[in-house]
Amino acid sequence: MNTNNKNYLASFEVPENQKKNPEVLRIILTEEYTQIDFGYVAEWIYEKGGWIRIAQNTFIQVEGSEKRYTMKEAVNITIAPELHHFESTEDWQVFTLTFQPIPIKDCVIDIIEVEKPDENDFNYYGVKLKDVKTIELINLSR
Amino acid sequence: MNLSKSAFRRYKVIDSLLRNPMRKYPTMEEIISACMQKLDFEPSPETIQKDIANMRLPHPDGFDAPIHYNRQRRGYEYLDPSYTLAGVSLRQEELVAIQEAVELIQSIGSSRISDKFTHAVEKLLSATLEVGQKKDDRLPVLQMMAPPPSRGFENFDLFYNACKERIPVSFIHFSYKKRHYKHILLHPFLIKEFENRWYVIGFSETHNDIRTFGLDRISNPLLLNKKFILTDREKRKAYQQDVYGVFPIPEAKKETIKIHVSQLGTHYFQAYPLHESQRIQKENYGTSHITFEVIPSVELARFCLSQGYHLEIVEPKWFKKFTQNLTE
Repeated sequence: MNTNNKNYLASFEVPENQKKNPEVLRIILTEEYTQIDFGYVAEWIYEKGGWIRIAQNTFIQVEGSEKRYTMKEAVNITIAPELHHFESTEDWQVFTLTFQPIPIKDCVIDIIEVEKPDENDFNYYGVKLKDVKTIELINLSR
Repeated sequence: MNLSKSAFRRYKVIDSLLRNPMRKYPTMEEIISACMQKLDFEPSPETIQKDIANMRLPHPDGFDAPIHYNRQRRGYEYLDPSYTLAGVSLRQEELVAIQEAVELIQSIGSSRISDKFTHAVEKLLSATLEVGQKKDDRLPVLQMMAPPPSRGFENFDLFYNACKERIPVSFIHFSYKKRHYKHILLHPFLIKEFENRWYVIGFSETHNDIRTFGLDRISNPLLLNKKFILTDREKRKAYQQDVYGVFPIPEAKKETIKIHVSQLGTHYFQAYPLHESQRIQKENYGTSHITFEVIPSVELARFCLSQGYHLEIVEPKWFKKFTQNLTE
């Protein structure tokens, strides 16, 4: 890793109609990868809180481009078809998805797990990244 | 540093020879001979060379000993004549005191001490190995609460450094009660343990106020290259000294809390003061009025509740009501 590269904590806005469980909590932009932290709260409608998993082919798309920034790593969530089962409806889980690096600039992105999603898939459209170079991180190594 | 007792004993011999002003530049043969005399053991030249190499290793693997082989004098020397292996020379009773202190630290338990401190303790232990003569297979005679490792404690070092170096931190926080997440930008100034739980306290940019966060509810902390917002010294001091617990009641100011305590309860308050500001005014039959000068906290309210009929909050009325509401 080139330590001269700067890593940024991006400010972002998720459109109201895209706010869901799991919630997009933090977006980090670097020249090597893009990291998104999510938080999931187990739901009472599911027996023992149900389960979560993420599709291997999850990707980011930047508005105005066809390029897909594919997922490189998933931490604290299993990759489909394997499931992460909760033990109760009170459980919670923070997980991190790492993607190929998107350009470090203000832009609008879609985070897409499934191209033709149902309500259970983790798709987010129109996430606005702004002032992306305002906050720099220290010693972020991966 | 994983140091055996015999190795450290040889280091001490080497150190004493190198510091002997009457016989400078000890040779390899002289070091081996001194080891034989003092340790009843003849180490090989390879062992001594290895010892010297280990002593030279920088912290934390070695002792940073500036040992140099002087070719002209054909012997070893310290390049820094003021260097000593132990840093300072200690008398026997001082070494015993250190040994006892180390035992006390060990009794606190590694779960309360991060890896960073474990090394320091290990080094201190190695330096006091020689006084551990009385050690046998008896179990420790001192035991303190040592809870198993808790979630989030792995971030202790990061927050400790952030407080010390004044570095803002970004992290994800989950509220057990509200069951929701928040991304927090914190300018931390204090790590506090209360009832075996760890908390970090600082100015939260997210809340534009001072906030307390349990380490167990914090995920993915990251250090930020951002100007640190330093909390006013008096406020920091208040969090350290004037709060029983970690969650002061919002908007509450330091004030006098007055409680009425039963006879039995009074014995315990006398024996175990709740706060350094505690003052007891005993009544004729052993009951008492007790006052504290503190910022009322959630933990203080819970403590009062836990005492049942042994304790009644007298003043302030709002705190009495706050405490009663906790049960509803």
